[in-house]
Amino acid sequence: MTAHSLVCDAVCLERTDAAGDDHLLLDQVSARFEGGRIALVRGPVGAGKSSLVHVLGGLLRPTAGTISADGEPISRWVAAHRDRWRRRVGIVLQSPHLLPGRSALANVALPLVPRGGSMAELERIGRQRLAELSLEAAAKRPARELSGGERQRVALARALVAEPDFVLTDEPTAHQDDSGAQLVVGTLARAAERGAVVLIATHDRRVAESDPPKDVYQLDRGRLERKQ
Amino acid sequence: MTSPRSGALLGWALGDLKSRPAEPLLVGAALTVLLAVAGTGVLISERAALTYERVLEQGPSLVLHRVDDAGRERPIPADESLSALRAVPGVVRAEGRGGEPSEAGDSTIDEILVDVFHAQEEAAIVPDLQLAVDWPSRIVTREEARTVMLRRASNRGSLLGIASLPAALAIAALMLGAGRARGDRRREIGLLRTLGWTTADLARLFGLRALVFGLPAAALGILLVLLLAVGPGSAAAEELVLGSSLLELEQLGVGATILAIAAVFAIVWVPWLAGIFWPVLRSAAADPRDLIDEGSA
Repeated sequence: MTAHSLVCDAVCLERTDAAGDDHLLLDQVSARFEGGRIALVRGPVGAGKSSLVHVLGGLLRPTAGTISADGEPISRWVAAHRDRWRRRVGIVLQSPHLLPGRSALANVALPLVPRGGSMAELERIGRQRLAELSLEAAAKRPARELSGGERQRVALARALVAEPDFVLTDEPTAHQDDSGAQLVVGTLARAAERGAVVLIATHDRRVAESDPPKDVYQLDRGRLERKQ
Repeated sequence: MTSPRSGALLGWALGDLKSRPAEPLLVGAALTVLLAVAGTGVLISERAALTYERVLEQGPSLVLHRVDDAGRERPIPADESLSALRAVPGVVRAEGRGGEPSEAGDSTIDEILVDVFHAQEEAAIVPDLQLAVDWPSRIVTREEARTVMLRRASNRGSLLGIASLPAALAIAALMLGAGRARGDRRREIGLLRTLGWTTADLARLFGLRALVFGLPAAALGILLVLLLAVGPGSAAAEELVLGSSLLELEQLGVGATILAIAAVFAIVWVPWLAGIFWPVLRSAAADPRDLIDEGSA
């Protein structure tokens, strides 16, 4: 098992809103997220959890500081190379962002399509991931017909389908009942067990109270602090 | 042979089109109609131009009419006029056409067809011909006739073809660059890039999606062009493009036909393909999060 690492060094993110006002969303964030363990980032709504996930996943470029993955300064890479970085990342956004007209299975297989293989092979892998999250019955249903909880689990299955080295999740237990939340955390724990860096950004107490061991961080007004 | 990589992409592209069939059907129909209309117009005007050229080659160097002060055509006294014109140096033939014999025995004609020794003399000899007859005349040279006929051939046919260009651009802009479709596409690009698709992957997907309905649309459009411009529907199309014509139009050669269709095909497809690939290329340097946000706004 290869353990991976994701390191933030004095990362800042400043964004301008529609009214033209600047907001500091991440303020000198430094942390080292190790593979093999779950990193739990807690914080109230608006603390900057989503921004942290976006910056780590290469969806936004930090205003200052450096993000390194396995020693490579990925945040300084040019756009084309950052495309390739995202191929190593499985990401769950706060909103699932599924393709509404396509089936749950097709949505799950989406990250695999440009990597090759036949559609049959892609669907076989997709079905496995859906089964791990108790979504076998939803495989052929269009995403628009799924419940909120099912959509979020489909988004998690999609993030994990290519067995990425880095799994970044933003409120992955949203819309889940207790058993659903347990299933989500258990699935993420198995990803960590195979050496992936797994980060869960959430304000859901059930995640903090769940069994798998975690490195806990607190994010408040853009500043990240290691708790345990 | 389809590579495994292309196989999955093609499968995905087909699934995309199946889940949203209205847009590709509409764009495919628009491409077919544009290609058929523009191609038919251009091919028929080319055929008309070729026909007029051959007719003029076989016709006289100049055609002379008698006119009154208001510019109306008048009967021409045949014998004295033809004699006078045949006496002009450089004239090798002067023949009357139309008209009728008069009761007094001196016949009249409607026009006189004149041939000169050298084609280069056609314009230069006009003043001599006007001086040779003692009535006001209007003389049309072969070059002037060619200009008038080619203008007539191209006016309606080529205008039909050229008018299709803004239509092609407008359809491309409407279908591929406006409103909700534009937002959906940016959101889709942002999502796919979030999930690890590179710009090259996106270009391949968008290209495959375009070809899946674009190629049948092109084939159907070209078939319609052939049917309307050179096949059984050409009589009706000639009437539409040229108005009533007594001439049977010459057929273009295979090479010229292919060239004309290829030119129209390029004119219709280039803006359309630009509309397909431009959003992908434009988004290459953008952050995926921004693309998703813009698309959702």
